[in-house]
This record gives sequence, structure tokens and C-alpha cells, in this order.
Amino acid sequence: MAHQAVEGLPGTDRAGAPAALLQIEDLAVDYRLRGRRTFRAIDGVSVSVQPGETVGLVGESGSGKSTIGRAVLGLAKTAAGSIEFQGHEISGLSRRRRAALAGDLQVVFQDPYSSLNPALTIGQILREPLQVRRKLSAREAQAVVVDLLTRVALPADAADRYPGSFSGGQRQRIAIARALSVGARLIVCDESVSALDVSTQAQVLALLQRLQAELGVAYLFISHDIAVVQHLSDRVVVLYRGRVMEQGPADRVCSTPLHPYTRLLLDAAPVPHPELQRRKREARLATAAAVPTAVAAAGATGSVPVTADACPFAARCPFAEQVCTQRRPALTGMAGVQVQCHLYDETSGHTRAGTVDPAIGIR
Amino acid sequence: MRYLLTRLAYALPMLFGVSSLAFLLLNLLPNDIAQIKAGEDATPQRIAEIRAGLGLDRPVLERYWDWLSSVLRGDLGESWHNGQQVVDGILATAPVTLSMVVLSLLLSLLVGVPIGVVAAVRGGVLDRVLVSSAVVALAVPNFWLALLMVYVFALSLGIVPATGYVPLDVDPGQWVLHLVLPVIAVASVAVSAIARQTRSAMLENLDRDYVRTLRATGIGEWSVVYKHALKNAGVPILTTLGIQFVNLSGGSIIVEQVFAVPGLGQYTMTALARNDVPVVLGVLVVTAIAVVLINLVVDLLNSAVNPKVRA
Amino acid sequence: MSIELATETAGGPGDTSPVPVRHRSHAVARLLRRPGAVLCLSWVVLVFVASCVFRLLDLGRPLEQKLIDSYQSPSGDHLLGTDMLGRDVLARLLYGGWETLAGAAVAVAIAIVLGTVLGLAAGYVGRAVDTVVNWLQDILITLPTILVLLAVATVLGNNVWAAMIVLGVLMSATFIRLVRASTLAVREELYVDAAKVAGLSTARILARHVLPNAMAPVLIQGSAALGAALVVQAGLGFLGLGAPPPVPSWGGMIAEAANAMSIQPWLLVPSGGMIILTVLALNLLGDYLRDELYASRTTSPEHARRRPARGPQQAPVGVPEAGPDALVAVRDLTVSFPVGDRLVPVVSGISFTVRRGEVVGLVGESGCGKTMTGLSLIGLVPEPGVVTGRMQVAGHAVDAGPRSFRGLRGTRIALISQEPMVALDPSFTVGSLLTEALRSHGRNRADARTRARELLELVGIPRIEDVLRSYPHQLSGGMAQRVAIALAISGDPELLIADEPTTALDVTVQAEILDLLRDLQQRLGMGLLLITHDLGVVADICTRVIVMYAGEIVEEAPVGQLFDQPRMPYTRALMASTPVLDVVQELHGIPGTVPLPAAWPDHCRFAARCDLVVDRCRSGPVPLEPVAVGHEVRCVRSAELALTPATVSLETPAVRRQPVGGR
Repeated sequence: MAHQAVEGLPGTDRAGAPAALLQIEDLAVDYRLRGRRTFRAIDGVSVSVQPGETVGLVGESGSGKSTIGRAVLGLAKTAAGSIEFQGHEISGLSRRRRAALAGDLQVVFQDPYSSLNPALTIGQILREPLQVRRKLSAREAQAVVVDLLTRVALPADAADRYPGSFSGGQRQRIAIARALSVGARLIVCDESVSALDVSTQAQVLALLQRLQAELGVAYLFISHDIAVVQHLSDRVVVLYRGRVMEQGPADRVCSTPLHPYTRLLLDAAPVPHPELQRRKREARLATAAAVPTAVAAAGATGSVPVTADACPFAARCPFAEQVCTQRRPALTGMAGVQVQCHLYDETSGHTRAGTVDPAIGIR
Repeated sequence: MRYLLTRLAYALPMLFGVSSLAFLLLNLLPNDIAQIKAGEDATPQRIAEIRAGLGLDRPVLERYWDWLSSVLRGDLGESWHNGQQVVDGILATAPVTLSMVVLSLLLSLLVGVPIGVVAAVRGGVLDRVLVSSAVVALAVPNFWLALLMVYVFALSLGIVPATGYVPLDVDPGQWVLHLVLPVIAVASVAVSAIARQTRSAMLENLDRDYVRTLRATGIGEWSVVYKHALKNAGVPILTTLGIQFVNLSGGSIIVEQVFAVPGLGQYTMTALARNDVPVVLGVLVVTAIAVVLINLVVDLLNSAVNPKVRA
Repeated sequence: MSIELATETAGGPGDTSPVPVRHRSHAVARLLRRPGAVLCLSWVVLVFVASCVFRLLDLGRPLEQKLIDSYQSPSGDHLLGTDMLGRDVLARLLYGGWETLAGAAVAVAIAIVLGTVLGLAAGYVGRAVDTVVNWLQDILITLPTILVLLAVATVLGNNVWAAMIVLGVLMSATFIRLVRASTLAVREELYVDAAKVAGLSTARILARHVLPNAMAPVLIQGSAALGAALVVQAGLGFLGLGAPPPVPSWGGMIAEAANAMSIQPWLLVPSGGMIILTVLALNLLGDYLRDELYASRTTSPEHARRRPARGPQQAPVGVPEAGPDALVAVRDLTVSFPVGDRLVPVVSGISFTVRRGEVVGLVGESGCGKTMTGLSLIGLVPEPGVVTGRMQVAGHAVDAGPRSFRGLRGTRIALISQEPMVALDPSFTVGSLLTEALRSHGRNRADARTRARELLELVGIPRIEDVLRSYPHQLSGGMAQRVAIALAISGDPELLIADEPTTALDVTVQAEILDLLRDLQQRLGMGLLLITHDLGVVADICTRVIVMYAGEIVEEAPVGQLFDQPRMPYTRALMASTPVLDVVQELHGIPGTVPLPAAWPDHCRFAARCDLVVDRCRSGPVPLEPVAVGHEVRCVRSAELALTPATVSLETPAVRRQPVGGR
């Protein structure tokens, strides 16, 4: 993990505490369904990213993790809440105003085959933002391109070739180079290593870490793979159906999870060792055995739609009780972690509220 | 059912748009029809009389409104030439053209689909021969093919009559004999088009994962090809068929000239020679309505074949 | 008359992607290397240039009459003969070609410009603009071309140019649809999002990223449209609506030929031939262009994977030493694909056995031949692949041909694949898919229905009746994979091949599917061959592991032994690349990528990426050698290398990171 010093970088407020590079408050994003109905894909999410920090967004499909990234990039419209970048509100900015941000805020997408225009050479792809955004001359831009390619460990002659002649891992390096070309301070990595073989994935992760150490860039790292997220992130945000279940320091959340969903996610990720995996599986199956009874008692069968007034995880939770389907859990902070679960809110009325020892985590 | 309603809701404005466009095309283009009708050396006064007689002196929008409201009542106006109701003229000639179009449609489906399937499944030399023939057939103008067939089968071999038409209710045998060549000529392009589309849709589907699953499950090859792949290939094939309907109706207009078949084509050509605008407009609108209806049917068939379309 | 537009591009699911996969400027160069394309292009250019020259220089006196020479057959004086007025047919064809060709070109130019502008607007702006343009496009397609042109002639008289302008407007519908579709597709591409994030203006994105990719299909269609316009033009000429006499037109010449058919039938040939050849050349040009711009599977039969590959015609030889409990045994299995004129193996000479009750994992990076190995075991290697080697499935010696697997598939050996959603036929309900499979395994209708319910219950599907009536697209990924599993076990197979069965699923669903597979395997006593890239999945379910690299087996061992004592540097490197929860580790990765099959060396194939490589590694092929009971390794240094155990081990359970992050 890159824990390089961030002093000397701008963005420290008057009180001396480091100001967030990215501050998302109470974000909501709606998707249009057929007709005029909408579906709330993101509901009340607050996340912040400090300069030079990596924050991991983890969750399964439908958790809204990519939507948050797209909202930050201005590719998805926000319905409520605010997104501040370097102290300025950036949600709902016009295209022109947003263009001014482009240098500082960049992206590396998942699909290395779709994220590069097949009709342009690597040189053209990398030069375009330099010439348009940084107003460099062709010669200056060329020099920067050579430097960028070296930084991401690609041969200099890559500039004259088309994306089609590169492997998935190499294309991701090119996408990273493009993000860096304009001097980004925050890069949104949307499943950036998910399509790669583990051997290549490890290399790209190492590259991301090295660049962070060298340049102090921050990452909003979006992935479905909690092991990868833990490996790379300082802090992790666990999402389920558009809501934050738990967020806190990555190692803390992954070793002693508080939220039952985090537990499920961690339990489901297999460990590459047969004996350890067997024990882990048995623990998971024991937990899962409790789910049907709890869910039935809570009246949260799968066919009941999740409302804004319920915990979205109630239908799969071994600790589900009536209150979980009736009241939205309050955000509770403990041991440096924020968790949204009735178990940790002594006033919630959940019969086991306050019984989980935060030092051990939930089991 | 809901799908049917949404398609209908789409078809109605289409009908309106198509007929309006047709009317405006014929009435907004600069023309000197009155001059032509009056003759070379008519006085300006005579020309003005003719214009007034045809109602051409009234504003376009007013005429449009009159025309549209009468169309809604099923009245397409009357011929400028002989005062005959256009609807009657169309009713008299449309069955001939319609039988040609329907027969061509059937022929292209019955011949085109099997050719496409065989080409896709067999592959090899047969595939190459069929594909090449289809490419050549696409390049042959149907009226030229019609002439060639008249020369070979009517003039040289004398197997079928060269021209003319006998209604079905008069003599079914003669009806068929008279329609064989025109229908083949009209259908040739559609056969090739449908064969090509069928072939590529079949190849595409036989390459899909679900076909591998079916084979791995032990389902027989016959069922894999003819039950599963062909059903999935149905949507693009039907869509092509819908497009071909427009081409077939256009094609039969010209081929009718070769065989002197008294259909909509002759009706239109005669009207054209006499600058008989209401007749041409009527034929155009009726044909366009038929196309819209056919496309509606194709959409419904598609939804029957493909459950995803219904969703 | 026919407008042969849009038939191959008619928005069906059978279309090639609107975005070309190869680069354009190279496409033109490649096009000019194909003799057929050059021939077509030359013909079109020749006819066009000759027509211009004839018209501009007024050569050949095409209008000159010489009644004494009427209806001559082709001769040295008149290469294509003469017409009823004794005029030279060739001269008339070329003289009249100008109107025909230039008219068609004008129509297509109008269609392309109009179609591109409206299509771009509809596709990129979307919403109201899209609705209006779409509606307009539908109307234009609905209007029968020839009738509209006749209507125009009714009010305007014979006016070739007016007709061609109207034709252009009508034909623009095809281009609107094409450009709109490509624009929509390109708009979804991530590189357009990346361009937006980079702060590029809409105009720049359209011009540089959207338009170039949308133009490829336009170019292809443009060529065919030119042919179509030509045929329409000729049709009008035939109806007497072409250029007014005595100026010849191609269609008018056919009409003249028709009148003289009984006197001089030859006249049909030059007039019709000219049109046919020119239209054919234009259509073929479009096809060639499509071939070059798209990696086209659907148009070139050589690449079509329409049926499983046939094996070599040889008597099947079994693997007798495999023993009675071997469900599948292969020796020297090789799968090759033709590249140019040679066969390149993607799996080269592997041997292994899967026994009753075993769960064997097949792991390796992508491009190592795992999937092809799995498909060869069920006779489904796609054409034009060639499979050789000795193979014994469920006690039967089989060659690799599809025939010898008939009767084994589904009942002895079955397959489930990676993407459950596309692995099920979208046009049939779950119920009909299951009953068809069951009936093909010899059950009667009623029996099949009952068994279908039992199978769905067996794979843990709730609300069975609903699922039976559902189409695959109505199911979630996990449910669809359960249905695919039910389908696979419908014939009570002894061996189930599962190709990345959980890769496309969420991790919690993956855990459930693995639980299901484990449960079924134990309850039904099946053998399971699990193809995966995920060592965690291997650890969860497998009893034995085969590691493949570049088409070869490089290590094979019981699962515990493999994870505790890997002996092949490749296996160790894979482990060192896998991030593990709660373990402090430095991920190493493996430099480079798996080499392409054509570039596999004849020494150790991993040598180029191995950090323990020595000269000996490159001295020749390395055999797979036993190092312990049931443990085989392909490495010259296996005896001397004591590889450290993988990241996680039982002795040092989960070296936990500090509970509160390291900041």
C-alpha cells in the first residue's frame, strides 16, 4: 500500500486539517425506467477521498458502485446531494465548466477493448487531450507521450500502433497513461483490472501503486473483488443496492467486519488454500443456515420490494428482524468505522442491538 | 396484447404521415398541369378556367384538408380524366397486382428460406454456388429478367403465354399460367435477399453459445438446426420480408408493363400519361397504407417468434 | 423494380456490429490486394470514365442513324451490333451511361449527406430529435420508391434530375438508420465517455470519435445503394421516363430491345448486360469492403463455425491402461486450427484421466487451451479445428468426430458454460428446453414433465412453476446457471465439464453455485472437470488440479499438495499473483503474456516469463515427470528448486494485516 506523504500538496484548509479532494454528500442518482417511472440507483451515499488516498467501492452487481463513479465523472445525472471536488461543487456542471476539471479528474474503465478508439493510434489517443486541454504543440505533446509510455512501462514505438495490437493488460496501461497525461489528481478506476488475468491484474495493480507513490494521485477504486479492493485501498466502502452498508479503513473492515453484508461478501470470496477454504465455507454455511428463519420472522421474503424505509439487506440477513423491514438503519460510527445496521444502534429496538463486540466483528 | 397496442399506436401516425407526405409531394412541387391540359396554344383565361375547374386555385392547405377528410371517409376523389372514382379504379386493378405480390412473397419465402438454410448448414461448394447465384440475381433488373423469360419461354418455347391476364374466378389454370413468369420476375430479387439474410442469420445463430449447450445436452442435430436456430433466425428473416414487400409492390408495377397485366401499374402509367394527379395520389396512398399494415403484421409475427420483443 | 437496400443490414440480431473491428485506412490497402475487388472497381471506373469521355467529346456519333445498317449483329464495325435505326449499340450505351451513372451518383450523394446528418443528430442528441427522425425514416421506408417517382413524373414530366433528387431523399432512410445505429453503438463505447471526461467538446467527439466509426457501414451501403439507384434509373428509362429521345438511356435501350425482341433478340444482351455487370460490380465492391472492414464471420464461409469439427477419419483407439473407473481418459490430445496453410496447435499432446467421483480443476491464464481441452472431450471443438489423439469416454473409444459422441453427449458427459444467459436458447421457455432434453434421453412426455420439476428442485430453484414458464432472459444470472446445470444433468451424465461456470456471477452467487455443484457431484457420484482461472475456486471444490500453460500440462497434483508444495514456477507465479483477503502480500504478477500458439517455442514454453530461468530451460522440450505420487511437473529444475509454499498455508494461517490500516 502506498502511504506516501501528502504534505506540500495544496488542499489544506485553514484549520490545518487536510481538506478532502473529493467529498460526496448524500448523493442520489435515479435511473429512468420504462415510461416515466424512475428507480433510485444510489440513495444517500456519502464518501470522501483525501489527496493521495485510495478509496475502494465494493459491492455486487446492482450495488451502484459504478454509478457513483459515473456521477463523479459527470456521466450520470445526480438527483440529490452534492459532489465537491477540490472544494467546488461539480455535480450538474455544464459541459464547458466541467471541461476545466478534466485535467484533475480522470478515469480508467473496465473494458480495455472498448475504452480505446480502435481507429486512432496510441499516439493520437494520448496526444489528443494534451493538445486540446494543455494546448501543447505537436512536438511538445510527442515528448510527453514518450515520457508517459515509459512511465507505464510500454515501449516508445507503441505510439504508432493501433489499440488492436495490444493485449488487455497493455491497453489498461495505455488507459492509465491517458488518465495521467493531463496530470490527474483523482483517477476513477471503474473495474479497471476485472477483465484481466490474475498475472496481468497483479502487474496493473503494482503500476497503480507505483504511480501513486511517485505522483501522489488519489484513486476511487471500484471493484466487485473485495480481495483486490483490500489489497489496494486505504479505505473501503461496502455498497448494497445503492446504499452504504459499512465504510472504514480497508484492513479493519475486511478483518473485523461489522455489517452482516460485509461478512457475507468476505465469506463468499474463496481463499486459495483447500483447508482454509473448507473451514471458511463451513462457517459461511453455518451462517447461511440461519437466514431463512430470520428472514421469515422479519417478513422480508424476496418478493417484498425494498423501500426507502427498510434495510435493503433484510431479505438475505441472518439477523433480520421486524425492525429491519420497517425502519431505515441509522448511520452509526464506532471504532473508526461507519455502519448502517440496527445491530449497532442501541435505540433501534433490534433485540440484539449492542451485542456485537466491535473488536471482534460480526459472526 | 400491450405490444399490439403500442404497435398500433405507432402505425396510426405513420399512416397520417405517409399520406400527408404523398399529398404534399404532388401538390407543392411546381407544375404546369393546367398548361399541359389546356394544350400548347391555350389562352391564359382558358388555363385559369382549367385550374379553377380542378380546384387548383384554392390554397394548398385548404385542398389538403378537404382531401384528408374525404380520405378518412374512404373517398380518394375522382379522376381528372374521366371522372371515375379513384377508389373504384383501384378496386378494379388492385386484385391483379395483389395476387402477383402475394404470390411473389410466398415464392421468396418458400424458396429463399430453404436456400439460405441449406447454404448455411451444408457449407462448402454448394454454399459458394448458392451465394454467388444470389449475388448475381440481386443485380438483374426484374423487367429485364421478365423480357428474357418472355423470349425463352413464351416466344421460343411457347410454354406459357407472353402477355395478358385471366382472373382466377374465370379460369384458375390460365390464371396460374399467366402469372408464372411475372411472379418469378418480381420475386427474383426478394428470393436472393431472403436467402442471403437467412444464411447469415443461421450462421450467426449456429455460432451462438446456446447451440453448443443444446448439442452438449444431446439434442439431435436436426432439432438444433430446424427447431432452435431457425426459430431464432426468424426475426431478421421476417424483417427482411417486410422490407421486401415494398420492393415487390414497386417491382410488380414495372413488370406489369412487360406482360401487359392490367393491374395497378397499368392504371398508374395510364394516369401518368394523362397527368391524372388524383389517380396517382390514390394509388400511392393505398400502397403505402398496405405497406404500413404489412409491417404491423411483421412486428406481431416477430413478437410471436421472439419472446424478448414482447418484453 | 427493386431497391435492394438494407436487406443484410436490417437491424436484426444477425448483424455484424456497427463498429468496425479493423482499421479503415488499412482496409482500403487490403481491398486493393484482392483481385476480385480490383476487377469490380476497374469495371465501374472504366464504364464511368468512358461514359464521360463519350458524352463530353461526343464520340462515336451515337445519335447518327443509318437505316441500312439496322439490326446488325456484333461485328468488327459495331462491336455490340446496331439498333433498329442502325445506330451503334456500344456508342449509345456509353453515351447514355453518363445520365444513368451521374444520376445514380447524385441520388446516393444526397442520400448519404442527408442520412448522415439526420442519423448523427438522432443518435447523438437522442430524445425528441431521435423520435422525429426515426418517424421520418420509417415514413420514407414505407413509401414505395417507384410509385413516388411516377407521381413526381406526373406533375413534373420527364425530369431525370428531379427524379434522382427525390430518389436520394427516399434512399436516405437506409443511411439514417445505419448512421443512427452506429452512432448509438459508438456513443456507448467507453472511449467516448473517456473523451467526455477529458473535456473534449461535443463537436470534436462527433467529428473524431463518432463519425469515423459510423462511416464504415455507410461506405459499404453506399456502394450497394449506387447499384440500387442505377436499377431504379434504368426502370424509369424502361417506362419511358428517362432522358428524352433521341438521347439514349440504359433503361430506354432495354425498352427498345423489348420492342425488337422477335426481330433481333441480341439487343437484350448488351443493354441488360451493361446494367447487370455494373450493378454486380457495385454490390460485390460493397461485399468486399464489408469483408475488409469487419472481421466478418457471417459472410465468409471459411471462418463460419457452424458445426463441431470433424476428427480425422481413423479408427478410434481407446486408452485401455486408463482403468475401469476412468470416466474420461485422453492420451496425446492435440487440437489445432488452420492458420494460413498450416495447422497450428492450441492444445499440444496432453494426456490425463478423470475418474469417478473426482473433481479435477483445469487452471491457467486465458490462451492456454483450457476451453478447447474441455470442448474436445465432448466433441464440440468448433470448425475448422482438428482434434487428434486417443480418447476414451465412459469406456467407449471415440475419435474426435461428432458422430462418435452421439449417444454420449448429455447421457455420459455434459457441459455447462460461462455465460448462463447466452447459453440457453432465448426463444424457448425453461420448461420446453428441459422437456426436450429429457425426451431426447428417451423419456415420454408425462415422465419428462415430472422429471423437469424434480431437476429444478434438485438445483435449488424456488417457485418451480414460474421458472418453468419463464424465458431465459427473465431469469437472474444465478437462476439461469442453475437452469443450465439442470439441463446438463438431465441425462444423468457420469462426467460434467464446467467451463468457468461462476466467472460471470457475483461472488455470493458463485459460492452458492459451487455449493450446488459440490452437492450434486457427491449425491450423483459424477466426475467433474472444472475449468477456471481462479485458484480460490480450485481450492474450494477440486480434489486434483491440472495446471496448463500454452497448450501443455505443466503440473498435475492432488489439490492439497499443489497448494502446499507447488513445483512448477508457473504455478507458484499464479499463486503469487492472486490477492488473498487478510494477507499482507506483495503481488508479483507475471511479466508479459501467454505467447500466441504460432509462437510457442520447442523448449520450455514458460521460459520467457520465468524468473528462475536458466540456459538448460531453452535446450529442448521438457518432459512431464513425476516428483511424488500423483504429482507430475514439467520443469528441468523441479528437483533442485524448493519453491516456497504459496501465499497462504495451513502452518501460517492468514498472516493478518494490522486491524487498523497502516496509515
